[in-house]
Amino acid sequence: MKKFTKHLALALTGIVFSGMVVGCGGKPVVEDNDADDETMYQLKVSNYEGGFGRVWLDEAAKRFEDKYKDLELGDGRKGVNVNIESSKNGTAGQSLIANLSKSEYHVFFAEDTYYYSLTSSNAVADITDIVTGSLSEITNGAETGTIEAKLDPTIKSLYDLDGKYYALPHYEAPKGLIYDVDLFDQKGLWMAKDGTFGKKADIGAENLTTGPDGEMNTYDDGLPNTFDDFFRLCDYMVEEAGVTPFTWSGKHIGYTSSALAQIWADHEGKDQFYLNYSMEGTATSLAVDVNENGIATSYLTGEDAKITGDNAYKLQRQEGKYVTLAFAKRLESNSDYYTSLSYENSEDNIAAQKTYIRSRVATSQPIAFLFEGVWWENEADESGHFDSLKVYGGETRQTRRFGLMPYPKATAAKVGQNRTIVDTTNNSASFIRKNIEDEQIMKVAKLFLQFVHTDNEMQEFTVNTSTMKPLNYSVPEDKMTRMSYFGKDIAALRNNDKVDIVYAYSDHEIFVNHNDKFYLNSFAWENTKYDLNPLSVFHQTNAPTIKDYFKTMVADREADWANWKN
Amino acid sequence: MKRKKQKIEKESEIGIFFKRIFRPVSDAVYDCSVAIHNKIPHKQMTGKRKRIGEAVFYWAILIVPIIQFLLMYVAVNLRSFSFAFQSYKFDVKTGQEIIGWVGFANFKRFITEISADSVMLLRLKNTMIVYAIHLFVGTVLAILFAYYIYKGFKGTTVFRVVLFMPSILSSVVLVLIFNYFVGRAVPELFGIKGLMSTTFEKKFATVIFYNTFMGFGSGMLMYSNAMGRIPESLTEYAKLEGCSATKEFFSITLPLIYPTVETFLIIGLANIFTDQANLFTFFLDDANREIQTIGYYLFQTIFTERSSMTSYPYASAAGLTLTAITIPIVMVARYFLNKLDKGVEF
Repeated sequence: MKKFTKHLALALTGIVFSGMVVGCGGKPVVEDNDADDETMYQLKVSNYEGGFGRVWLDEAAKRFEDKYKDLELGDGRKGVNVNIESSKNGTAGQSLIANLSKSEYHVFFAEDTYYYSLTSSNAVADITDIVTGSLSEITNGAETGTIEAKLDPTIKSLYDLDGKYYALPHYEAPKGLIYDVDLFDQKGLWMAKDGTFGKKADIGAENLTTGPDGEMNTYDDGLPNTFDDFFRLCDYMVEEAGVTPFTWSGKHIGYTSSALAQIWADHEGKDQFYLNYSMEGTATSLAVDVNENGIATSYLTGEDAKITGDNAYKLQRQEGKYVTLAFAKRLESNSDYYTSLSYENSEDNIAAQKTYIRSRVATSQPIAFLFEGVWWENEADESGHFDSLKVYGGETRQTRRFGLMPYPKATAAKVGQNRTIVDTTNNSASFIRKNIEDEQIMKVAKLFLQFVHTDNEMQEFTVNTSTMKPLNYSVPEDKMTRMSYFGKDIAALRNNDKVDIVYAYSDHEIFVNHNDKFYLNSFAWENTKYDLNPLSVFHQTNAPTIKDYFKTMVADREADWANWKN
Repeated sequence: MKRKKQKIEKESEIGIFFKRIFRPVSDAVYDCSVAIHNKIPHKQMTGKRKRIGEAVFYWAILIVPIIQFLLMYVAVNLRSFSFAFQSYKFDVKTGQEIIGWVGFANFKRFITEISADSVMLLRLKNTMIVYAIHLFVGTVLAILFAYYIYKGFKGTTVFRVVLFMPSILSSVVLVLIFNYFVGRAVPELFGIKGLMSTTFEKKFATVIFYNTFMGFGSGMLMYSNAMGRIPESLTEYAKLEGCSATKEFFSITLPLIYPTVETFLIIGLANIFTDQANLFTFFLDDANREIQTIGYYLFQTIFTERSSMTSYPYASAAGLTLTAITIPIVMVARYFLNKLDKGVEF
């Protein structure tokens, strides 16, 4: 008995400590046989290995090494070897910026690296020459323009410092509503004009709803047009189809806060929403008051609706916010609409992805929607979630069909208005360390950064990650064939005239000096009384009314603004 | 009696085992040191030489902690002082920082917020709740369990291992295990919702339970060590006089370990506004505001990867204001706690 107890204690201790060892571990560094070859240009690249992973970079590095295998810059070295350190530790945010000048790496792909924090660190190199220089040489004439020409004007307004550039935005990272297209087909969740649900073939293409874009024969046919349609669909899922509508990460509540904020942007439209960043123009939807359902009862007009930096706090009154709160409250009101893990702190983003992906093939209770960032599919793939499903019939990332669902409109009157997506890019950036002593390595670093911003490389980035970079390019059909359904859905947004992307960037002084306050999850719902996550607020037994929420947000933003202006 | 004998036998077995391993090693080391000592010529030290030698030894010991104190405490806090009166802005045209002096504006903002902002008041309330639970539940239970272990009552070894285990494991691992337990195992076992997935109140209560339970280890170790120093003759004498375990606790043990208890109380009070109650380990920077403490809020203001230098001045002013509030409270508490000290030495 004593021996047994000893062995049991030893086994338990072993389990606990092995957990610690596993927890401390990470992906093994990829072997690189040329890493110490002094006859080559050794370029060291640091990559933040979040949702976008490292596969895209490994492949880009290989192509770069191949292209410049004969590169000679007159000092006896020949060819380039790209050494990649890809990790979550110390490769992003303030911790990276603070240690940048002491870093051994030359080129960085990071996130949470706010542009002005980078420039004021004086640790990043001036890359104006590669941003404004022609891409003709590096693309062998395939491109004649510049990287600067591919920048959206709003991004350019922040990154262009008197004609100088020190970094480039790295990736698009909007959060939104992911839906399982396969599940819609299997369970017949497509919506007909008469309000019934079924399979597309049974309903017939001409009888499907138009979707929020208001047009037939487009990508969103059969999806709910309005909030009412959407919640009818949720009821149908719960009552008839045996489907749980939603799941999300209970730990990272910022994900749902941001994903919900997309409804605000979508309701306002591109121009009205961008007022929050430009702080210059006339607002058309500033509610004086709202009713209990979040519908405005009167609006500010005339001089009262003119927005400047002095009074941009008024934009807290935008109707889009209140219809979003109404959506959130309605979603929260029925606990059958979401999984029990949706408020569970042990359910982090990776676990939520697994819960979602597995639900249709490995459980009897499939889940239709996931609030997540667009990188989710790549992150789930690199986390091995798709591989783990092989035992359930060989479904893979390439064969599964997911999409970024267009949010339904609040009212029928809004159906047909352009779909608006807001993107903060997670303050992602790519840049070069300034104090590289080896001039030739600096040249190679710039060459590499320019290389990954050619159209071909950005397209490959999209093929690999199923996401876009925040620069102007599109993915040709031949490359689309190598992409997952979700990737194609994301790439197709660029070519859709009915979709507007708003980059949350501005050179306005208030935005520049309080960038962290403009991060979407807090910026959208900031107030001094309730939580920043509307779903968490409405989850409480003593939840406020939308009207209470409205009044608090309006009053508090005005009070905050005095601090932000100074 | 039999049990005691078994214990002695067990201890001697362990002793023999260690002796077999370490005795030859310690003998060899001792032989070496004797040989070295005999080879070094020994001069008679004069008084001056002796004083210099002592001074060198004294400073050699002190120099490292002094440098550490100057760098990590004095320099850091001086920087905090200057931050508190500054503002950081960016030049929109050049991307460079512009540092300005703003007097007491940062202090004014923090004081306004902490006295009127309902979320700040809630954080303050949470901070007080965390401290009160720590004081009235954590400290009391730690002393009681320490006494239980000190007296060697039934199950002492089990309690010692179970309660001290959290102190030697990574807090991240523990939080992970705890999260899964309250979020997945509890619903399965009891058919209820996860303890962290219902209301903010329950979420906060669960976090406090975790902190109290996990905080036992270090407190219990300190208190049981203090109890272990109580002369055995004293407790035996009390036993012969017919003193019960309860009476022994209140009349002998508690007064004798009072200096340790006092130290813990004062340290707890000094940390009141920096205690983030493991919230960061639980929720990273995503903790609901309703369960945040002031310590977590200050930590989050600076630590979040999205923050920039523009956040530092406000956080520094907040820190200094809270220090100014804490110092008199700690001094007054120390004064009264010292009054309660009966000054028993043993």
